Amino acid sequence: MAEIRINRLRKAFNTFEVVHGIDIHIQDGEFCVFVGPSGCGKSTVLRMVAGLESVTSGEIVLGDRVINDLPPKDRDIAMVFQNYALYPHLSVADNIGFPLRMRGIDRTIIRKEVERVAEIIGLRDLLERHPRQLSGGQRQRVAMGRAIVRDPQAFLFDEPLSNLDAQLRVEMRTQIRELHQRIRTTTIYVTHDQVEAMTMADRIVVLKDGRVEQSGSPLEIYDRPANPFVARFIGSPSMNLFTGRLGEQGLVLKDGAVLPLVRPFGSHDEAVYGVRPEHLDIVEVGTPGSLEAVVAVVEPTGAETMIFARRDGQEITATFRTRPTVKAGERIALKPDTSAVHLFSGDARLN
Amino acid sequence: MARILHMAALVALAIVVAFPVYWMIVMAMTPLGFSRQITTIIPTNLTFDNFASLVVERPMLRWLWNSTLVATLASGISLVIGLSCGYALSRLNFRGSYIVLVLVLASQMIPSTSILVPLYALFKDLGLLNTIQGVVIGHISLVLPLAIWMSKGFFDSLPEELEGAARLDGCSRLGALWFVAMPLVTPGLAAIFVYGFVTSWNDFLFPRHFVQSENLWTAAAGLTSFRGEYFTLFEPQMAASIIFALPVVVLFFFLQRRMVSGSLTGGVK
Amino acid sequence: MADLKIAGAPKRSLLASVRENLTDGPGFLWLMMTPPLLLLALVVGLPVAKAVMLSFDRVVLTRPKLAGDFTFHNYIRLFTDIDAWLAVLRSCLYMSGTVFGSIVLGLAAALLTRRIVRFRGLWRSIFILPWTMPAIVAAMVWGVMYDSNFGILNQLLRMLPFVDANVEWLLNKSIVLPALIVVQVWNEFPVAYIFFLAALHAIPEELYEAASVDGASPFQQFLFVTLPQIKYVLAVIVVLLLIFGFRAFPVIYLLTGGRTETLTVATFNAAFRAYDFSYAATLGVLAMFVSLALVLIYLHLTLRRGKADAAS
Repeated sequence: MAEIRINRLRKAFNTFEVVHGIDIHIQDGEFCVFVGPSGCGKSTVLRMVAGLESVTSGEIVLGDRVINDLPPKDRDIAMVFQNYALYPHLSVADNIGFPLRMRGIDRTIIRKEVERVAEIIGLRDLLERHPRQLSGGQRQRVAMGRAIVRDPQAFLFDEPLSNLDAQLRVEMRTQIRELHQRIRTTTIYVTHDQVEAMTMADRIVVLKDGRVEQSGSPLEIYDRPANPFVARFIGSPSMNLFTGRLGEQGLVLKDGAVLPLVRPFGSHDEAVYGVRPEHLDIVEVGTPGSLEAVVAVVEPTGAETMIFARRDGQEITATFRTRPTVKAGERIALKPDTSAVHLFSGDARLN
Repeated sequence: MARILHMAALVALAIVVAFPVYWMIVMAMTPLGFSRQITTIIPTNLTFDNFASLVVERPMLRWLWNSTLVATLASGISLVIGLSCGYALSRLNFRGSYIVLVLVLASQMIPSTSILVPLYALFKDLGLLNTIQGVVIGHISLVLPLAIWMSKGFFDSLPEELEGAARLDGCSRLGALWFVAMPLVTPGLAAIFVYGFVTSWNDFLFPRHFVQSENLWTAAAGLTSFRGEYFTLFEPQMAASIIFALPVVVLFFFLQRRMVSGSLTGGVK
Repeated sequence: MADLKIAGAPKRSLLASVRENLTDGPGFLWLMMTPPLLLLALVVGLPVAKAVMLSFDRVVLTRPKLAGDFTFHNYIRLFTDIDAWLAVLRSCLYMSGTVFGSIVLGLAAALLTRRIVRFRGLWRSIFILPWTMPAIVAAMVWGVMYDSNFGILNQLLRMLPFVDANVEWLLNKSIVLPALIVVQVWNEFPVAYIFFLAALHAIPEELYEAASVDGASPFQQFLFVTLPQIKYVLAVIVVLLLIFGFRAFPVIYLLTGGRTETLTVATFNAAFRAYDFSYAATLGVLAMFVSLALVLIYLHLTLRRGKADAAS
């Protein structure tokens, strides 16, 4: 096991740069999730760590070695691919044993190791099957078995759950997490699904357009997003963002409505005011510091009730643990909890 | 009514298409000299004498053996070498790979007469005329581009992650090719080999013109000599045609599915 | 960072590091590409280069004294040689004829067999059978069938009440080209058939259901559903068959003994009848350029489509 340090890492395809000098430091045993929209460079970074993609400049350090120019086979890293990349011509046992076979390990030892791993991932009865005879979830577990069998320094996961159905995805999420708690290998996990990132990560790295937008623990990122992009990207439903100008009482919107702040801001600059759906309260229409809106849809999910309201062409989402009795078409007023407001200017956080 | 018309059209078309093959078989089994008197489509008194006389009176077996030798060598060498080129073109994004691709395809499409002429001149200088090696080299020039193009197609159809996974699992690039990619394209390799084999088997231009000695001819070269000499005798021509075509037809139908999909990806016969 | 070990550079024997470079490093490309490029240079590059050299020389086997000087003689001759341009014209006619015939026949066969369930394999085998026949065999069989006196075609024709003379299929100058085209079409239409069948099977049945709900007649369905869906395949087949038609040699040569000159036959005749290798090479070079152009069109079609597929 080892820490992974990525220093000023760049990647260009011909002259087109897709990763612009990023720095990421992953501690020994940490479960780090790279999250971002497609095309943000997260998979490219992962593939560079794996050695499947060359490094244009910068450094990748695993433990105490710079591994930039090391071929993948010598990096002691295991990877689980999006489509599992199981060898179709080999049985489950041979798939799991493949990394050991390639290292010239004795057959009887391979046999024993494969059985040990099969026990961990719960595939004992399927060892003689071929990948095409397995379900999606089983394939996923074989891929993980193949990764853990040789006890590598680091695990890489490239969107491993995106081909599974919703229920299985939740199940596998927990299993991967449990597995990590058990073997504590440094892990980089790439996904575009922020829920996966939130639920699985020790640390999240949010990427966009080949740059790191923010890095931190899931709750840090949720509670203090560094910029409007992270604010909207993390959390579901997304944070409500309002653009306006700072004033004495708070943020003044174009139509004159005022959103309250804990304390007034000195400047009169343009700013973005963010409030999460769960930090909105229904108040009586006309209450100062509230926003009037017309309810468009009410979606009760049981545990929560979601209200989608519209105001001046902008959609506002609010969620409640209680069950407010509002109907579509009704005019309501929503008041933000000032202690949980996020204020941004351009790309920076103000509060 | 529409169904009947449909079936009638289908049967009619099938008869027209299959007739030449049927007629070839009928002629081949007609006693020598009698084909001129055939006045019905349905034959009477059939014989295998024509096949026997090919073997007895002509060096047909010798020619078939030469064909097998030349085709196996030309296709085998092209397969091994073409495979590594096809893999590189499919997997390694190197500068100039597109140009190589265009040149490979172009050299496959050049008419063989355009190659025959300079090759003849070269072989004359190098003393390769009248040798089996010369014919093999000539046929490699027909088969190698095809082998490259087709193997690229087969490798393209494999997901690249498999080799990525293999490399992380401890394979070198060469190891990933050998342990993972190769076992998966093996059925494709059979198709490539057969295509190459058939291309070489069918060609008469090179063996007929590079080689003077009849006993070094391939079956294709021997077969074409029947027109002219025996121009008026249909029966031995047809019997020889059948013997010549039979291995090819059997190979095709044996590997039918694969050959068809191969021709779709490779886009060529 | 100075104390970091730079991995990949431990002390190793030279041999081991060369091996490492070749099997898993930048050298892998060289390992994979050197043998094929060498072989290609030998079996294709060398003949092509030799053809170009010959075309600027005068190598005529019957007049050895002419050889040795750089000359444009052959190219000048080519531009004024009416027979050569007639051969090119004949190649064009032959190509268009075979493309048209193969497409009509291939499409007809594909449309007739697409929904057939009973004896499906049999029908398909029948329509693929001619393709499995070597071109030489196709030529031999049709040569026998075309025989003016004893061929089955004339025997059948004579049964008709108003025919009394034999048709000289391969000797009559106005009939020979269509007669040759028929043979070539018979031999290669299965290529079109296979492509069309695959393309037709890729058309979702719902499209036809929707069209018939909208009241489209079978012909309209063909026009507005089938045709647009096989447009791309059609284009690929056309180019492919053009290339086949252009390369065609065995059928024409064996059936006419080289009397009907297309560009390929003219190349052959120049070398092996007139023994003028330089002029033959010049015609061969011309043919190479034509096939290169056809290949570029083919690649343009298929690769662009490949990119569009990858993007969608």
